[in-house]
Amino acid sequence: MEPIEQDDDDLATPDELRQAIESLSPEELYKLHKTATYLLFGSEYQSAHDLLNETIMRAMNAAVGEKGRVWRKSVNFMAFLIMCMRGIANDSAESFQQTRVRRIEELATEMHSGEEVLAIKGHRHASHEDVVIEQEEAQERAAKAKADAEAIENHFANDSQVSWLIMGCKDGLAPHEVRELSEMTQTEYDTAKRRFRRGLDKLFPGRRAK
Amino acid sequence: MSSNKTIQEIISLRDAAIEDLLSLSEEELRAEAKQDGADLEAIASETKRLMREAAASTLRLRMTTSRIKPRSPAVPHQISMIRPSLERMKQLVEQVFASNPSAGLAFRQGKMQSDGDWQSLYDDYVAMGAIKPEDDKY
Repeated sequence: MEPIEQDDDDLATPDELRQAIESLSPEELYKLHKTATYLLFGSEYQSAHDLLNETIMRAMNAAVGEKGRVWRKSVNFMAFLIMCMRGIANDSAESFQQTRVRRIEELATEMHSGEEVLAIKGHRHASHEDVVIEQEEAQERAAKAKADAEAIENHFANDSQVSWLIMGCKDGLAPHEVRELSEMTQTEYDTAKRRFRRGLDKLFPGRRAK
Repeated sequence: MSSNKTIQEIISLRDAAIEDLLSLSEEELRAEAKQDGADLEAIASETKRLMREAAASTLRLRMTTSRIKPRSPAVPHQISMIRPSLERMKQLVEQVFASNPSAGLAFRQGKMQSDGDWQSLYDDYVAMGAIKPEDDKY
């Protein structure tokens, strides 16, 4: 596979990407960590660190002209990272294992085949057993998502405003539609959303920033 | 209810939480962290270390597989399998900082520079051609 040509001045170089990481403030870094933690819901990733690591790897791959997530410097770096993390977390079309194998295969060189690079890195192609295991893991994730959704609903059952918010999210309603249906003001809606997030922190303490 | 629909619902709920998190001011964020007993500075520092290492390791992996196609005409140098001493690496990196003060400033703003950070940065600058290992008589 030929590397993607990148001669656009707006595309970040590896050094610019590193400088952007160094320039993040503690508050921004904390927000990134917490965002990654929330993104674990419904995702195959097991930790915020795994997700952040994957995000930076893809951004750096793109910065060296390979396939990855391109950071255009005209886009705010925080916004890029968050959208990138969200995209990766939502990428349910491929399994975690497939994604990892594909990334290693992209590193295949004239000197080493994809198989050899995989061998060097201690990976291998998915066997029938791997596929079965992946299917089982996908079922486990779906069951966990269902359990999480029920736990969330039950936790806020006595808070009618948050319940409206949850219902709106589940039904894909826009915020103004939820406000109209529930007769909430903008302030009440925003406060309900805050209670919802803080409730999630309490409901799933293992998945929030410590 | 299909499992896909359940996951989509969870994603919508998760996004609502993230939207609220991102709306917090710095003061609100710090107050919330304090309320949760979370050490914001420590988590931030660890997150930066992780991101820094992810960036460096990706570059190292690219060098190992010899696939970097630089945008500039300069040919990148292969990372030497044997690094110079830590002190010599610091000298070489400082020389790069001298020619590019913003890089040095950004690095020092990280505050915590372990030996591993210096080694990673050295490798990256070698990879990018900013440091030429053959010029270094160590």
